[in-house]
Amino acid sequence: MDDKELIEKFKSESTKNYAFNLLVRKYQEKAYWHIRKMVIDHDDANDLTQETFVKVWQHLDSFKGESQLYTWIYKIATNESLGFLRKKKRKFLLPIGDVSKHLLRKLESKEYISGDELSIQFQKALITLPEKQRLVFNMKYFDEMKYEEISQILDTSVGALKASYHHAVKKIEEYMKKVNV
Amino acid sequence: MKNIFDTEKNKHKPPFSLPESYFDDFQVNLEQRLQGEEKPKNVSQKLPFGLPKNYFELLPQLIAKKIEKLWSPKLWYQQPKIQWSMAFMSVFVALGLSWLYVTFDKVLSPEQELANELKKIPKEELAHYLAYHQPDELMEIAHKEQISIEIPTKQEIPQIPTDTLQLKKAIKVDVEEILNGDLDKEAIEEVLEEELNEEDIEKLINP
Repeated sequence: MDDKELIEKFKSESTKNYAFNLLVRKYQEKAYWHIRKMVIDHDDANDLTQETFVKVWQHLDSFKGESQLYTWIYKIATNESLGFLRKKKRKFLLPIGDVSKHLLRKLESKEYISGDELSIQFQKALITLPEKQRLVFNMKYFDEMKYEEISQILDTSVGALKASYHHAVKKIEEYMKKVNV
Repeated sequence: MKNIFDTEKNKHKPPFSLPESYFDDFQVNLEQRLQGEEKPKNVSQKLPFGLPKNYFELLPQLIAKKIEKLWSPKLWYQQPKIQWSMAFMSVFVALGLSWLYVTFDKVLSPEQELANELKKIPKEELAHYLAYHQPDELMEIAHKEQISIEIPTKQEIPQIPTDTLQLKKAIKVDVEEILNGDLDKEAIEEVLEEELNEEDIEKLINP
């Protein structure tokens, strides 16, 4: 079932739950992994993914179809992740660097972390990036999204996204060289 | 004119070196950068994250439950406003009760007050006072203590005027006022029994 059909079925009371269930099954993994890469911890990612789909349920009726459904869901997931990280900063009155420390601790906790040294170091390099650069890098490198799609999600021009991605790549390379993996 | 870029002829070469095949890859790297398609070297695209078993099979149910919980009609006592009001009222009642407890703890019953006052009077003095002013009560106490006594006459008892009692000086309360007040007679007896033991009464009878 394509997205247009899903939305139509969601708008009808009799098929609303059925359509929503299909929608969740179709996009849950993308949303989850997008969030997980930002917050690192599984429990946090789980909460935020659920929250994302609750928001989808709340607002899908008013979705006008100006963008694709999955970029709209990505946008909600992005906002949830950024909101979560901001709350963490506010809660512990932390500067950005210390949120990175918090994420690093999560990465080192070994709870649902199961990768080789190289992939863990790669994640550590990503954590050192500013949040928006990390978002751009994740969407481009891991999710292989087009810049036009990322532009819709982050409300940023394609040129700025490319520059942001380039800086991220350079910083990651520098980090990896420094840790000598 | 001398060509300074003719490195063949220039004996002073710049002290720089280049990565291997830099100029061969230059164009490709530039194109990748312009398109924003470059990739970091020496990294793996594999994510080091694990998941609980069957997580994605169970996630739709978790989401459905969350939505159901949010949208199910709430009973009156589940309304946030009502819950907040109830919480405030509970705090208010709790504070009120603790205030009452503290306040009432300080207010003594008339019996307790009497007992406290009588404790301050020397026992001998109290016995004399009773023998002189309240012989009936003294008899009753003696009877309860199972002591047979004969109340001496007023002339036989060394009379101690009430207003010279140490009590009056110390606590500024007239014993008479206490004993003849509105207190229940039984309560007075009870207190006096506690205050006056066998020895005191015998001392009074056989001074």
